[in-house]
Amino acid sequence: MSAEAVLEPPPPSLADRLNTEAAPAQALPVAVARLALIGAPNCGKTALFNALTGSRQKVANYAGVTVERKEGAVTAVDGWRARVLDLPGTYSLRARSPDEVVTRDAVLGRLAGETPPDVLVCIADATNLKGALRLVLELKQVGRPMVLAMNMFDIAERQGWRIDLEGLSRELDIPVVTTVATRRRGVDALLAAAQRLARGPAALSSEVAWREPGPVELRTAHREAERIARACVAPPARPDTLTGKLDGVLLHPVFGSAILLGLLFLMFQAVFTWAQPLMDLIKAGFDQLGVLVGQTFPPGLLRSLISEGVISGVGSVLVFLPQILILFFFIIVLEDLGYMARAAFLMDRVMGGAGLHGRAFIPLLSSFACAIPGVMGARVIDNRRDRLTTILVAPLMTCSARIPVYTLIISAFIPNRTVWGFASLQGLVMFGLYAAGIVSALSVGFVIRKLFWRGAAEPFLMELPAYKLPDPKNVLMGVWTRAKIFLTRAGTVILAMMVLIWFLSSTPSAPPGAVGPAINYSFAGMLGHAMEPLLAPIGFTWQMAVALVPAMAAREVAVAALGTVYAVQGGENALGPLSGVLHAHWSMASALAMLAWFIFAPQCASTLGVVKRETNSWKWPAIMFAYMTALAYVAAFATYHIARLAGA
Amino acid sequence: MSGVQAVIAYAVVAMAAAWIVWSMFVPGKLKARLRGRVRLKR
Repeated sequence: MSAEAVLEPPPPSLADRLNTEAAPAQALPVAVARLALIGAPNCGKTALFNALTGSRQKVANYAGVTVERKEGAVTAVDGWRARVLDLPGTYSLRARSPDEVVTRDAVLGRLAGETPPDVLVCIADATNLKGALRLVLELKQVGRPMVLAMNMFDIAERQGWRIDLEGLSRELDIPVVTTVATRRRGVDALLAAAQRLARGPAALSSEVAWREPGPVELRTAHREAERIARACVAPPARPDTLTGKLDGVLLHPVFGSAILLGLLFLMFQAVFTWAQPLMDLIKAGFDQLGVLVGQTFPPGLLRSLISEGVISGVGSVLVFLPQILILFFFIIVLEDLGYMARAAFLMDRVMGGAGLHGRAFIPLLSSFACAIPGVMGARVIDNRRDRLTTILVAPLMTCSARIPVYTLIISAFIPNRTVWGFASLQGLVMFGLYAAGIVSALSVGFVIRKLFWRGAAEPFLMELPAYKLPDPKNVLMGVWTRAKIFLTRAGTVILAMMVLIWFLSSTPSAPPGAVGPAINYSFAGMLGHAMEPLLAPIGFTWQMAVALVPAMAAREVAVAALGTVYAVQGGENALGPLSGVLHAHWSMASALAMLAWFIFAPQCASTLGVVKRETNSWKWPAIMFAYMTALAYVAAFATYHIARLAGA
Repeated sequence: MSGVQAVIAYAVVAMAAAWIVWSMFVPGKLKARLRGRVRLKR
């Protein structure tokens, strides 16, 4: 007898339920229809998904944000319930990239254990209807009930587009509703239309009919879409010239690139200058907490655990929250403005020269937050070698988990002074570290594509989104999401790791008559000393070695581990900022070597796990770990010895 | 008093270690099964 574990099956389709309901004396399941949101990239599917379900999935003003199927629940005013699927954007069901395959398979009911959706909700950007009509015509061939949601209708009206909604509905033979997903407008009308379709006769069948169209059929569909667009859509009398004028400057090869560099420079200056007061406040809070614990608990193991393990460890990481939030505030605002897609355009020449596909820009941009969404975002690339190259270099982009490490070492060793009369030196070094991450990603991409996987460059086509004013709610939500992720990590993996590090640093206690700090005799001390010969050539002390091991769980744990190790080592006398402690114990050359190590640092178990999932093989995570470790070691070695030669 | 502190401190260490093993080393499928979210198909 064999037993196989399977996930809970998805809710049955309406057709299956009706069949069930027809059978007497059976427990009837609650009626739940399944709606699938489909549309071209950047037409607002996820914004509509969030509006329908109350979810908070990431939305941004560029294509390729959603790369996997997401599901949520919605209840209409009259109690009608539905499951809503948010699918990656696609221009056609002729899927080429892995994210488009997910959409095609979900629409056709080919995903394991799933039936086709009861209702297709096709979403169109109302300011760019002609392209969407081709998809509508293709989706109609699938044979499922469908409603067309004309999203961003407020912008279309403001720009002067005149759309004959009744005529469009007549031509397409489907209901048409207008929506403004970011303001939740039109959502009830959309739900009502979907509800009527789900209860209609067409929903009873779960049949789908679709085959890949040939060139003749494609041309016919294109002509039909053009005919319908001419009949029902009138463009604005005064075309939008602002976008053209802005793009003339922002996409200019010289001015555009200078503006991009200037924006990045400003961003890192702000990270250092704006964050300081808030960081001081958090630091003062933790200091007070330490004093309170000292007054409340008598000396003993528990007091040591709380003050040296939890407060010194977790506190040393939490201090960096303001910097992370300021950085993401800038990134989210630029995304919402529609600038990031322009940045992708500007970077395409550089990335193409390095052998990276133009569509790699968005995954690499996502990697600034964390390599995990970056690795997953590579699904938008259809060529397997291009995708693997992007996956392999994504962790080289500076993720937010490196910020605490960089900031700690910079504030300990780089003087806080102004250079060139206006720029903070610390901000400049941070900018340089981010630039080093980008350059190393491009260089590794170049080596992979030009030396190992030679091949012709794939063309890069990307629709530039319209400029929009950032939605304050979306910006705040994005910043809050980052804060929540950071705090959750601090309260879970970092906290648990710090408790363990404290235990390893304080057990066993020093033998009678021991000279030197007790931590030298602990498990952590033994581990650090065992690793020291391997790391001494790159200038790392045994305390640094101890910090590198738990950083496998999350990179910022290195900072917390250093906080705990030095707190345990110094005991009650170790009070003071961690940056001061490092300054006293490390040489400048060792500190620079540590920074170089973390540019390439391969320690992130979660990223390696996701790479395994995305490539379906342990081979690629193993290659990634090996090449990044080798690069980190070589970079740290070179940095340490060059710095020593320079007298640092 | 120091004995009580030691017991609490080591209990916290044991919980942290158990949580790390659970969250980082137990496969997702096994976790789902242990939580009762997955049923067996025979």
